[in-house]
Amino acid sequence: MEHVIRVERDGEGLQMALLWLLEEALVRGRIAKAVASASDYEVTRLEAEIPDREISPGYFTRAGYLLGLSTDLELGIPIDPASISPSDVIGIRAVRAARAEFDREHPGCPRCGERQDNNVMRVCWACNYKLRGDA
Amino acid sequence: MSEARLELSEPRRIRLHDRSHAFTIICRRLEPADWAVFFGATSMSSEQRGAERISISDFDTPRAMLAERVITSAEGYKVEGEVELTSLPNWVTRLPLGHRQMIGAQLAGARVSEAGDLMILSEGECITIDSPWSIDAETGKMVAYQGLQHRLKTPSAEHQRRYNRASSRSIIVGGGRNGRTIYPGSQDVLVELYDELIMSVDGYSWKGEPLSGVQQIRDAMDGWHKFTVAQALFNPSNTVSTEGDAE
Repeated sequence: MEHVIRVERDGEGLQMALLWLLEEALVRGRIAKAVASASDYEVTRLEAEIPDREISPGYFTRAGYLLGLSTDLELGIPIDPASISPSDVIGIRAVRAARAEFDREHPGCPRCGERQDNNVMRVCWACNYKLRGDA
Repeated sequence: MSEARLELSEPRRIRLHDRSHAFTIICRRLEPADWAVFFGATSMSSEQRGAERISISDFDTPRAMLAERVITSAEGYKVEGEVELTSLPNWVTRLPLGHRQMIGAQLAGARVSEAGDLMILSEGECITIDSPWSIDAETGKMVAYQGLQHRLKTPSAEHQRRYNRASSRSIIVGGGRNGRTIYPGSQDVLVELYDELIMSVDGYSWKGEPLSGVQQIRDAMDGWHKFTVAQALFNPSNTVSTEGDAE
């Protein structure tokens, strides 16, 4: 029998898709900033860093919905708790886990706030602030 | 808008033409259960084939299914042995598949009006649709109603969330990376949202009287019309551009 996955209940898959979206947004943000000053080569190189989506597009559609729902909740927009479905809860947990992982992998610079490429960068790529003692 | 009102209580008589022959198919009034079956059978899917992701949709099968549920009689068909068409076992399924599919396409043929004026209401939303319906008793020609107006409350953020939740559902068969992704659709939720938001309609009648009152609209309105209107409200097709003929 074929394996059937209900995307809205697959927390692990959703977390993966959410992390993908966050990574994508990071690279796209860099591209948007670079477009004005960077060469075409540089923009192309940055675009190549956008990770390929290797899992079903269904995960990304659901991830988009969950990011919206999580943002509404964080903003304190009144939402009837009875309207939150069990699959929403699975999704909101996945958003929280994906954001935590993204924060670990891409810490923000304490000075300028820019996200770093990874968590072992020695100096901030944007403002050259020393991130580690031995830089 | 056309003068005559679209009568919702009557059976629909649909005229088909095929190779210089004309056929008339009579369909009973469609009930919510018929639309539930139709909506349940329509799904979109996509799957990875090599480097490409292929989208697959099948509307013909659900259309034929819908027609088979509601056709009550048919005129204009020759039957071997000169027997009554309706005396054949499973006679509806003896109708050509293309005819059944075309009947289904007519039953689910309403579309958002492209030519209608955009009207902004001081309160609520107005969606205008056009729909093929039934043949005119005098001319024998199919009548398409234009400018059928539906006035609805403006959806709340909660309504929008319900739609977003439903439209982001999917099922994967065969694995998360290379499996087939099936999108079951959100038609059922859109019909529910229509029932919650509808305030009034114009252009419809029930047993000869203009359709009025929210409960009567909920009970009598065609399921496909509900879906078409709600879809336009929650997920409007992209008809906006920055270029055009308008001054």
